[in-house]
Amino acid sequence: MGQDEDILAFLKIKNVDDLFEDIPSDVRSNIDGIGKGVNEIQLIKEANRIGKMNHSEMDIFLGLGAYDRFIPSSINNIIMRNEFITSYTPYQAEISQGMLQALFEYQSIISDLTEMDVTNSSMYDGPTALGEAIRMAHRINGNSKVLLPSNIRKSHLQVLQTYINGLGISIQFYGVNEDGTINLDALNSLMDKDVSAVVTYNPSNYGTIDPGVSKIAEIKGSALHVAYYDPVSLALLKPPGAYDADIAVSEGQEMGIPLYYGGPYLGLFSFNQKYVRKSPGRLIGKTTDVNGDPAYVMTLQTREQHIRRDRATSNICTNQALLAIASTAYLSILGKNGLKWVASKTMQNVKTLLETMGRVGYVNQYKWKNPFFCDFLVDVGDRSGNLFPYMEQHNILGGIQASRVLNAVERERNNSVFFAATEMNDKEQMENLATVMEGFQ
Amino acid sequence: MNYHQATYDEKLLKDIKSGNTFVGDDVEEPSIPRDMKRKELNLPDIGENDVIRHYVKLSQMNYSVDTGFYPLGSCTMKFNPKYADRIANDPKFTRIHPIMDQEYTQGSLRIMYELKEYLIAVSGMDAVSLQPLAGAHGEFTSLLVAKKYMEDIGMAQRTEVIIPDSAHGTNPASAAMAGFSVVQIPSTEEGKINLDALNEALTDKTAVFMITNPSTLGLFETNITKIAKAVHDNKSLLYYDGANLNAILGYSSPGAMGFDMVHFNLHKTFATPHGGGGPGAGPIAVKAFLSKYLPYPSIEKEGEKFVLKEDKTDSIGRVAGFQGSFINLLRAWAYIRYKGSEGLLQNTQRAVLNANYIAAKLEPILKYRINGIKKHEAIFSTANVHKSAMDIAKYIIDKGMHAPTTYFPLIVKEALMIEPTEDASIEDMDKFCELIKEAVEMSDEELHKMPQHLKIGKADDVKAAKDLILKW
Repeated sequence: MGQDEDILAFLKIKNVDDLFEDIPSDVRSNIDGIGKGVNEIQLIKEANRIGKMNHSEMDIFLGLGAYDRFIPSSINNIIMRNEFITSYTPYQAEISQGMLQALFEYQSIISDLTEMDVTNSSMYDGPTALGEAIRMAHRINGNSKVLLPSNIRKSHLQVLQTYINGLGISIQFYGVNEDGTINLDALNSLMDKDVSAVVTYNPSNYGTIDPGVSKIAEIKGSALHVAYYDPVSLALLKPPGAYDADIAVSEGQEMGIPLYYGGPYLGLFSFNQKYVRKSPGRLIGKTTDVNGDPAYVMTLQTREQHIRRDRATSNICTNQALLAIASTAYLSILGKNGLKWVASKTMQNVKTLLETMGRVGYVNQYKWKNPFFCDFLVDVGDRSGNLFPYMEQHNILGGIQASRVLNAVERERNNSVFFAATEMNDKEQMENLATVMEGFQ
Repeated sequence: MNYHQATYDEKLLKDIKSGNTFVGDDVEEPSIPRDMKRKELNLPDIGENDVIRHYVKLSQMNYSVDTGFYPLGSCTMKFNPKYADRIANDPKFTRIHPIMDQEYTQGSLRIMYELKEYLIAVSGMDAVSLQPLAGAHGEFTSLLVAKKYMEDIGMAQRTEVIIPDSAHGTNPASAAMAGFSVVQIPSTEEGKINLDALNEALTDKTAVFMITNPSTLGLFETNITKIAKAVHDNKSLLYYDGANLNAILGYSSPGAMGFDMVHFNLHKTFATPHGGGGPGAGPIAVKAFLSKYLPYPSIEKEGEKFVLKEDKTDSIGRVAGFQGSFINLLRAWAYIRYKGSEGLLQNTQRAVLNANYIAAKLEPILKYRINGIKKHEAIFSTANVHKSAMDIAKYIIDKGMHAPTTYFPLIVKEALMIEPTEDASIEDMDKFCELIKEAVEMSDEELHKMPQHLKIGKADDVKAAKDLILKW
């Protein structure tokens, strides 16, 4: 530590402790509770040992906001570039043009995917993006009610409730059809001038594609339509911008981000241009430099916490920049045909899996007017609660009770469980799943 | 020798038209309800090799900790160890679905449990929630805890949060977001908490007093015991903004100073990479009497098993879709495990040593001095040498170092906030001080031409906000 001694000499002090003599004795404490450190060899071994306590090689047939999708190998190289992963928020624009351009591209590509005007440079995750969307709608119209589908996912509802704490917003649930899609009559009967936001899901919370989202524009009045979508599904489905959603939010994990046991993920947040000044989060804008050349900067910072403080549109400082790059690289590498392939393969595998399950006696007894996209429900009888652990014992993740993950499930769906398929599931896995399920009876 | 950043006229992704190279396999045409079919999809049409080239070029036009000295004050840009990246990329941790039953995720849960215990040990608090996804998110969560507590003990009328004028912007923003109104108090001439102003502001409406210690001026609040007493005598809560925890680790702790709640920025104190803006992780810790209000699920140990508990009775609820920013929790775990208590203490010592070195070197150059021993950062004003902080910043980046934080804290005119961290070499610090000296000696006219050796010259922020181009 030659350097430390030089500095001590320069500062004319004997001991580094002298620099802490302003800390009074009655507030002193040490950190002995942590124990001794280890070297890198020991650390890697220890992490490896602990990692083996996880079952990371299950066949994954479960989604519900976290999807096991194909990730092009290039993406990890890109996001592990030292210059990206070890940089800070690009406060000094001129020395950070790489990150700024990458984030501008992220905003652009998500705006293209959703056909929305503006996308911010990311939020924490899907559910918190939904929470921020409801806060933004309230800032815009000042109304006091938010309408949610009765079958909303519990975790979404729980985060939303936390996010609107103290705003004086009340939640009302609108009914859904037998296949989980919006019951437009039920929704319409709840519409009045106090509604701040109508939240819709496409695919619905039962996993079905929901044509009802197209009808919200006709009935919303002064309320804002907050559309929660599935980004990969947009390869095939009408995007939120095409049905005039005001704010479109989602979880971006499935675009190039591993499952990570739940995080960090990527909150996608897009909106109509006219609301830009009421929007949360960071925005990257294109401008020019003194020479008239193209340049990128963080813009509209006057909405943000470091300038506006308690009047800011959100408290966002750190966001998910690096994962925003992962999703942009994902969409670029896959391109139009690749993304369509992923979405189509997903739907095909869902169909095949349903047929395979049907062969061993598991079908859905209800009327499914619209096709499933990726998550789907199937009925497994009155022992439905036992299926999930049973499947796990056979190294398959899937079959969780709908009532465990959804807010309100009609009585007759007590026997319904969730599975999902993606492009990663092959025929062999599906056949194996059916054989295992056959043994459940 | 001048620094030259790589400079490419790199096109936008959509304008690189080398042709998509993705290979799938046969797939049938899906049947979509007719009016839900997408008409047109615009995505880039570029080969995978060119996507790589694109990002490699962009990365070369981006400064980072691994590029060089990055003394961005308050952001603690320390070295991000690569062993943590290696562990964070292990499929045994990355390929775990968040809804898997706990029996099958014992490894991840053990990491979470051990990190929780570490955070309790370093903070001197009693209970931890790992769920908040960033520092500001942790502030928001803690303030909801405070609110719930106040409602619970029949003090729902306590709707105010007091914040010093030197605070990080996230503090007032988070307080407002949690439904509090913000009362700002002035600092003393020396930038410390003004006890008189605090006592005056403390009323039967005060729920929380939020501060960081050391303050954003890099000074330890020696009156902390008096401050804590005043706040607690008023039946209010004391909140510790953990952004500056790295300055005192091993010498003091929020618990020892009498704080009731704290958030940690794992990317600051525990070296998780900041990713050009994120992702971060912002766990929080509280004293025992607040623990029942923490978000669910919480990580516990029952016998030999690690379990996530969903006790909703008094909890403020859930603040994230799943269990938190797990991969960053894993990185922080690896860092703490590697460093141990001794290594963490050494970090604190070196960070403070380096900040004092820079302070001592710059005082004669900038003709400015904040009295008192610096902790982890040195704050200067460039007003006494009649220069703008931004001009100096632009000169520094032109010479291949990152600039300090500018214009913060707000209470210092033309502020430069310099945080070298424990990893700075004396050569880098000397060079940095030399650059500031050169900038001070330059004419304003010359300075205004900076930067000249980066990808772009000075960017036009006004135009960006006026014309507002947010999409290609």
